[in-house]
Amino acid sequence: MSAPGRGENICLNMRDLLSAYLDGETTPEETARVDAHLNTCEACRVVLARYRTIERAIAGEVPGADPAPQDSAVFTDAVMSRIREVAYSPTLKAHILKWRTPVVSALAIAATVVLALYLRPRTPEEPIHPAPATTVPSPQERREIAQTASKPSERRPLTSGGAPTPRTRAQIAEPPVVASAELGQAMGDIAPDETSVQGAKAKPARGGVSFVQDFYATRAAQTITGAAPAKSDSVVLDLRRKADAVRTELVSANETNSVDSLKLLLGDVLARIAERTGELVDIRAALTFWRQEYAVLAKQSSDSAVKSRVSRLEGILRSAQPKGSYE
Amino acid sequence: MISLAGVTAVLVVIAALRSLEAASDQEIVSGVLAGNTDYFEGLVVRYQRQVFRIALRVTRHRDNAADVAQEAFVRAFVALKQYDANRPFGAWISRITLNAALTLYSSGKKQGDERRTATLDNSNAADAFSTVARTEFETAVRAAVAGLPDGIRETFELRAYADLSYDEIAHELGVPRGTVMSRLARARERLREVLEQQGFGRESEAV
Repeated sequence: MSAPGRGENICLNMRDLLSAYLDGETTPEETARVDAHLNTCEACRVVLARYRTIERAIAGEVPGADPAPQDSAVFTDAVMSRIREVAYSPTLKAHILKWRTPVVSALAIAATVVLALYLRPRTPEEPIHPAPATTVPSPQERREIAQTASKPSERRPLTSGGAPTPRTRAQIAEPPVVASAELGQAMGDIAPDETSVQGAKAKPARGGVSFVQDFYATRAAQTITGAAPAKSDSVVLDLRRKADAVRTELVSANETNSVDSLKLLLGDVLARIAERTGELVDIRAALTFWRQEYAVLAKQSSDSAVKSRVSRLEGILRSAQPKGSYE
Repeated sequence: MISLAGVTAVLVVIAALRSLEAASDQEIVSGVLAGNTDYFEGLVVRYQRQVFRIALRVTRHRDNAADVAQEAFVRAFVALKQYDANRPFGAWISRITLNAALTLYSSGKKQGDERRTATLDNSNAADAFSTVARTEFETAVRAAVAGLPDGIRETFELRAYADLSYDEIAHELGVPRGTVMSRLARARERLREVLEQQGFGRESEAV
């Protein structure tokens, strides 16, 4: 609290040396001088202690955090795959960066898609293959879905038995809200809005259908915007690698609520879509499309969950080039 | 004739990859600049701990640090032509990392909130108080650093966050070593004064 008083004026000449002494940048002679001075001057000892405290506050390790990347090989692969993107395809780089921007909520919504279909039905031991579950379309059903995807007017959701049932537009749109609420509960700090959580309590979960809905939306958005880039096997493989990294990391870390995990999950879903369609998915176009879908719904419905979803998507789209984006 | 040239080229590439581990940073850089993008992996392997540590110091959050570290390598790759091979690569990428971290994550409240979450997550009730006190002090130190005059601040950041030596800082900033030394001394005196004015004195010694 108190500034070192006694002898401070004399000691001011020592301050350059004291600072360099702290950094280990003094010559042996200088070190000896500082040592001798510190032996006789309490004021400078106090100053040095405070310098050290400041240094520790900056350079000290983060509690509970190992100061190294979690998995060196995974990190290296991730960096190199981005480097190759940059090196070989500037336009692709811009494209990939769209989903790499740190928009947590966008990731949360996109991860909804993955969680809904791929994570929930899996057993922990077999995270890759979806287990048979009544709420999830079988591979056969999913093929049907993929076929109808290009014809939005004919799309239909799947019920538990797999038999298609005519439904209204509003009914189709319910599941994503529900799935998002599940995500929110599971993911704590990255929870979507509370209204969705309320919705989850009121309605049964139908995660599989929500993936279908969002998958349609994505495909339709590509059709609408014509934004699909050229097919590239290496891109699909690259996404595939990212997806594999997801599973390894998620399983080994038993961690599903970090931003990184969400990014990796997003990589997973993009890989799967890319594999099926041979095209990259334009996340921004997909989000725009979802926003429009929900905006139409919001006019027809007084459901506050739908309204909050619209405003949430608008917020995400507004911040699609957030502070700290890559360019 | 053509096939002979092809075989030679392949052998050269294999030999180059084999020697990658032993290659100097400068050799790797010239290889990358010659078009062998994969050589860059040698630098990623070599410097990732250093880069991650700097990123973690600034962001105080593992996830953000991983983002920053990745971004730093990409920025270094993009800017590799500007790298001066006479200078140490470690110092160069450290500065890039520091700048990336500061632009991506140091601004404003966001970082503080994330850090608070991170530290509180890792504390039990018994040391919650010291965690809060430490967080408060760290926040004050960061604010004080941010308030330093520009030239002094950058010098201090290169030292405190990025661990560069005085000679490396002098190279990076293009100033004499003596200037680095006096800037750091001024920075520390100023930080000490500012923090004392805010009531961090004896408390900080106990932290």
